[in-house]
Amino acid sequence: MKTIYTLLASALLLAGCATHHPDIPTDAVLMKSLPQLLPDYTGCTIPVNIAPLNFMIDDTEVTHALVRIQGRETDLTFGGDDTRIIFDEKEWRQMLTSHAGDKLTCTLYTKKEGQWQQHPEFYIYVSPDTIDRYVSYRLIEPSYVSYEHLGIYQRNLTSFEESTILDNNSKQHKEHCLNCHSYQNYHTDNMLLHVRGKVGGGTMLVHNGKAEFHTDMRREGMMSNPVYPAWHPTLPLIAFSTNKTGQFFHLIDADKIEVQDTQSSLVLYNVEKDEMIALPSSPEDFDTFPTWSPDGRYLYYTSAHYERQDTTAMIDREIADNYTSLRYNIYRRAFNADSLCFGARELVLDVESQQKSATLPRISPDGTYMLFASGDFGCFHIWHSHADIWMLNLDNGEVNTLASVNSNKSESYPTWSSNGRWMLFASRRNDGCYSRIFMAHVDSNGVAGKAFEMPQKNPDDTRLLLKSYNRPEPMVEAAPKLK
Amino acid sequence: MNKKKILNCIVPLLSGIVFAVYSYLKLSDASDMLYAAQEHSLWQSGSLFFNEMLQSSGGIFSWAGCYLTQYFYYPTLGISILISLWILIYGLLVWGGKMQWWLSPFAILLLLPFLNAILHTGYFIYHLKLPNWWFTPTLFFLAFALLFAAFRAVRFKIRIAIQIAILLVGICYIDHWGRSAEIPEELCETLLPDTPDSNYLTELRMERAAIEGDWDNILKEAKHAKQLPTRLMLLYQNMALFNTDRLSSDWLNYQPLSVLPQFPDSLKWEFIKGKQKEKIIKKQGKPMSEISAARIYLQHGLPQFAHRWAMEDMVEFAPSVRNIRLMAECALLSDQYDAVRKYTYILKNTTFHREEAEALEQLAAHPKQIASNPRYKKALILAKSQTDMLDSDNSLCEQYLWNHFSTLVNGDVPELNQLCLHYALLTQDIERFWNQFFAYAHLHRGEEMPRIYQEAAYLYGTLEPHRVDIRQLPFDKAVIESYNSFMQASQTQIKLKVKEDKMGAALRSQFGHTFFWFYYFVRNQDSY
Repeated sequence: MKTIYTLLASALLLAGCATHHPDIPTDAVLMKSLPQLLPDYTGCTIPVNIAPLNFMIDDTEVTHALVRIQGRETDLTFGGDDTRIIFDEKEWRQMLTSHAGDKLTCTLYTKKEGQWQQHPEFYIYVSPDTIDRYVSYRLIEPSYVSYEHLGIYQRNLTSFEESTILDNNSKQHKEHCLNCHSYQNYHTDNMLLHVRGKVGGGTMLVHNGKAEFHTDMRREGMMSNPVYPAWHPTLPLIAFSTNKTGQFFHLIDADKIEVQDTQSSLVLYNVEKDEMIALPSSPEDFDTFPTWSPDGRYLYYTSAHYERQDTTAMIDREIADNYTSLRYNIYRRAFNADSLCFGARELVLDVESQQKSATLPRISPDGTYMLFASGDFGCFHIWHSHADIWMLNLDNGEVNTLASVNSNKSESYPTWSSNGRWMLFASRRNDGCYSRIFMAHVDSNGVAGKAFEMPQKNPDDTRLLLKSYNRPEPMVEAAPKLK
Repeated sequence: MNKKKILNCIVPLLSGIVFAVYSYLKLSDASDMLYAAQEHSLWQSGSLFFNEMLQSSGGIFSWAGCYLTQYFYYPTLGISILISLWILIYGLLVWGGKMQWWLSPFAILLLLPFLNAILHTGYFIYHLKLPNWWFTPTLFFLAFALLFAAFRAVRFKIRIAIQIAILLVGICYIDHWGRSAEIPEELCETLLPDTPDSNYLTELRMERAAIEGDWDNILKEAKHAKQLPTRLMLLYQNMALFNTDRLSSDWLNYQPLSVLPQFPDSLKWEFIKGKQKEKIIKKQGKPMSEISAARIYLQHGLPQFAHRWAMEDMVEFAPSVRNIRLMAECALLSDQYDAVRKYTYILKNTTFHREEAEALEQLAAHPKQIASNPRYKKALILAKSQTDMLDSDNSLCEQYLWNHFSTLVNGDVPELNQLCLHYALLTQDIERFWNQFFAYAHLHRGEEMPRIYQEAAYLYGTLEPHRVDIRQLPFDKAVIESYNSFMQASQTQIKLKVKEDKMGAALRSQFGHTFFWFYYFVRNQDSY
């Protein structure tokens, strides 16, 4: 008797653990369109190693949803319990692996007022290209002046695991702002992030796996602490911008805030010698957002030219009154690794003449393409609904405005995966206020696929979370937890 | 049943009832504050919020505290739940400690600080970094009381030792939690009960009425205020007059004088060193920008400034129904309907704010309805008629409104012009007044000029005739006579060598409703 009960209990337990695949409704009414999916993964090209693309139906009248996924080697249904489609992680991984290079056909069924509806098919293309295992980001409210609890986190893109690299919950970093996390060539044995605050601020620098906290990065003659970083791809050198930054608030405009530099320039930091070298600059040229070519022979950056109109006025007020006229082009300087000297500046892309402003350039690992954020003016495009990600072909100078990637809300902080096949960026397309990480496939011809949102275990979280994902940076390995 | 046993039952029972009734009466007096407590809190169903709560120490109590705080939406219900928990704790302590009847009433003393801390909260409601503060200490104590009672079966000496240890650990934990949550010392050290300041409660009621678009109720509150109002109350009052088209006719029929809020000393301290606190008593306390700037800016048609302060509030003091709602409303007035839906989705995830969220969604889905909604009608007109610019209020809400509107000359939109003229009157700046006055006159050509504007024009024209020649302006005879009477009465007071502050009081009853009196005797009003 005892054995029977044990067997029965085990059977029930196993039944509970097995993935539930609902039956396909037989009485579904055919519909002509899809409901709004959250996130929208229809027609996307996805990495073969991405975590399950759980989604939900964004329609308050829908009570249940299920999806049938068919491919060369699969025919499964998922969901059915409520309006969310949650994939079993193991089955998802198997499905993607067996369909790498192929497409999955998805048929969605939704239940409304007791009646099942069958919607038109949509496709998900499984690219054989993998995406980097990790992406790090800052989670912070899209606020203006104050900050409270924030941190730099990393997410395993093949699962839903998120871990902390550094946050300000600890006694040591209480009331500190953490920002500008960056890595040398997608690896984490050389990385840094800034720690800012009224007391005890500095830069956490990890060099060859050893972490050190530097409180003296600002040297004589520098207008500020080093700000936007860019690791040389191979050498222990970091290019930084130094910036004097201010902000003003819009009274009415929904873009809310204008963050602008009143001065900026570039410096080069030698990690091993702890030396800072200033690049040539002038007060009228606002040089910022450095980035290296993959071979380390060029330093690219953006620069705006501004000449004072009224030296008796406060410069930040003057620039605020003329904020729509401040525009950045993309430049570069050749770099001699032996002498650590830079050549004359060369104009790479003039967008100013097209009434545009380019910021945050990033070059693909093969050196062919450059992504950058393009807006109508200014440099802080995360606050500009008119900002999009554009791509420059460095070989022939053609600019692609990436219609499949962008939206009518802000896109900014573009970056590449280590294999150059995926772009990642921050977008506020969901609501215009909170940044989420989006990614899109880029093939060898520079053709970009439809952008899709980084998946969440619970798709509802993207709507409930009141923080922004700031500055996505992919890595090939996990970063250590810092203290 | 022997006498001792009866006493051991009845005395704790009676003590509990007395404490419950006393607490109920005291908390009911503060029901406006308790309603505001749930506004300053947020609970969300689902795993995201739950997991976020668990990240701090005592997270499960924080989560439960947030959940229960929602019930102050119906203050009587929330109060009943809170008192029930206190009585349960009391019962567990008495039963667990096997207290004799003569000792049991003293156990109530352990609960008094919870009641008094809530009653003393006052303006700290804008300063608390823990939205679950109203219930969480009670829940902590309940957990310890349960543990305390669980040792009832153990031998006496060991039981007493463990129970004392648990109580001490519990008190230390609550203290540690309170300090890490930056609960002000004053809230933890009070034993004596208190009733919140009446202006503070009136501000809360006015804010609630503004949220509901019940402008008449604000004016009723203004009329029945027991003491001189705060600047914030005056702002609400004037917004209510504006929204009911009575700003030009009735403004000075309401109290124009004000006082600073009765902030407790803790809110006046300034920490000037990073590690070591050094206390300086500031004249002001909590700035208005951190109390209600968002709501005020929204009603003045400045949705982005409103959004900024709602966001800063959310960042520093945690998301709350109040700041989420504000951000939804800001998005509504800015045509950002996707953002409205984000915030209403969060409100729908609470226990009691679903209906309100659906109403906002309805407006987002049918934007034309916003213009006829009494809450937003005037704010929308103001938002649509102002030109965008980059600016900053330097955290001084009222001063910004004074400067911004008094200098913004608009001769096209009557509502905006009326507000600008009102602020020009408030600043008592003669040049600004004339700019606004002539814009008003142009917009209302052929209509009767409100008395207050005539009074200001006559006064300013008399004081500075080189600016504007008022001889050709068609003043009402009554205005001129009123001015002459006022000047005569003032001269009489001067001859009697009455000091200025006493002169104002003396002339108030006869001339308090005139701009003449306002100009001379409403001066140097402290904002904050």
